[in-house]
Amino acid sequence: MNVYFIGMAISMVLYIVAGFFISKRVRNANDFFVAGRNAPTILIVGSLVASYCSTGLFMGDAGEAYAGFFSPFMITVIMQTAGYLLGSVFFGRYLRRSEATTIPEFFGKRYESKKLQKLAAVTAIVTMLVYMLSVMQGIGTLMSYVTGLDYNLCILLALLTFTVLCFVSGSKGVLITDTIMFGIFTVSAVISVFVIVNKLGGWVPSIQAVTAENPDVFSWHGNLSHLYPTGAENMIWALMTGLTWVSVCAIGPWQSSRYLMAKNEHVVVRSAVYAAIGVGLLEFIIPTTAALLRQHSDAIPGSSYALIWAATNLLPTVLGVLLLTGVLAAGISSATTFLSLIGSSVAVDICGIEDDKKKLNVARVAIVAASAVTMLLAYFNPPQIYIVLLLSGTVVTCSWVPVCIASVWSKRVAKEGAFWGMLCGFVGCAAVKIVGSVFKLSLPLWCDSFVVGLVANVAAMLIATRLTTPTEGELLQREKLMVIPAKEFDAKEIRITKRTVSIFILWGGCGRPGASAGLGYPLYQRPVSQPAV
Amino acid sequence: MEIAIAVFLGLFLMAAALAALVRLNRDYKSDK
Repeated sequence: MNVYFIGMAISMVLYIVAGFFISKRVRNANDFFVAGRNAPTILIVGSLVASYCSTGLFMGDAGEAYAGFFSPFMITVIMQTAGYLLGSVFFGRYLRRSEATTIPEFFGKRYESKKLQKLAAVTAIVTMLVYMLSVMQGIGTLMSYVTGLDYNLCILLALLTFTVLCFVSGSKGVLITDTIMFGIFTVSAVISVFVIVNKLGGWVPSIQAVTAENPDVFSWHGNLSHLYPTGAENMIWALMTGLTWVSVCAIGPWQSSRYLMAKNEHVVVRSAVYAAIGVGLLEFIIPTTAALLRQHSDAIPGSSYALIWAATNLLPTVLGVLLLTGVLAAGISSATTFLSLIGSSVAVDICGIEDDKKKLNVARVAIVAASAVTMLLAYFNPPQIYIVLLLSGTVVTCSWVPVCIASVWSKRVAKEGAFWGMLCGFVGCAAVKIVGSVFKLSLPLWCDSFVVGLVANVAAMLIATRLTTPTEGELLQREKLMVIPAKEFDAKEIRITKRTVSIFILWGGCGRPGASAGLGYPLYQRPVSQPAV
Repeated sequence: MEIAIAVFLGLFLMAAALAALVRLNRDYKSDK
């Protein structure tokens, strides 16, 4: 037992205490499943960012940048921030308007199809179980590395924390603790990044040192020995992965489900803008710092461990404890969201229970069952964080995106089109991933699981749409979605929302790409042409 | 190439923001 374990243990106890405290305010099923549908912008932003940021960011993404795949990776994370805004305006507002409890229930109501609702629930549950598993592996790797405790014991401790939290306080607890954890890992990461870079000798000298060792790391194509051998292929990979993550941030169940809890539609749009900026900044500073840690590659045990190594070797102990507690918080906050959504989906979508008390009981049983399944899977699987994360993101995109778009924006797609599109997208994407992995195939870029799944989804949807027509009920449901509630027409609220979206335009014009062009060019290119002696 | 990538990303993000703003303007134009 060391100081890092004590810090992590204290934080886990505090999260459980917070869960019990919040549970006193959970009075009915509405509170448990959608936090009373009354959450302000700060809670939705906190939960969006906390659900997105997991051990995958601090270990998987940081590890990719450390491995020299910096620029292609940055392209994907810059692109994905657009997903939040597009998702909130073109899907999230309508989702909130439907007053559904879960996203599969939204699909079921919109297309008057229990079959579609169940299929959507199954795809969501599978995706989130896989995602939760990868987060658990990250937490296990992190905790066992810094505390020296057994890997499975670490997983069990974290699992108990978020299972109890979800069990007693549901979505309301998740929303509030997510926001607390968002604060913890953001503050700890920002402070730590500057201290680490200072220890490395400052921004410019560090970049010079890394570039002198390998000029490809900060070049536009990244390290050509990492994934693909040519810059063009790496760019195509970056664009395709970027589009996948635009979709994940727009409609991913653990992201867009947060909008169901928003106080109104203005909160949906505003929180998306702030979450996009928050995620973008964290995805910029953390992988950048990890790439600079290449100077210590002889001491760092593996790419996933870069930031953890820095926390235990470069930071003062107090700050190291804070950063590692923050990484743990990021993992737990994502897992709580997945777990609460699995509970909701089993009770509402799979079992279709109407009675509030029964619904709560079934959701709680499902939460415990999902935890037990995750524990067993984590026990038997080795930690392969980044690949598992990609699998879940791609699968959900392929099965849901065209259906999400059609549910709001198409009068022609009927329940059959939505069902077959979702099924073929899911099967197509998963099949390519599984076949490629089992037979260790090196598939060409055009045969990527994302492309195959999306094409399968759209093709199946188009064929079914040609053969069927929507019922009157389905068309009526869509018309109802198009009616903006009168309470949304508040001049002051509209003004604030539009102003917030304008901030995103500034972000696009001056923020991240501005930093790449203005800051990145002289910083990154000067060292290439004038390497440090 | 770095500049071209930065310009592309800037345009991509601004196009998304403009599309969102146009939609919001259209939705909230008819004051009730």
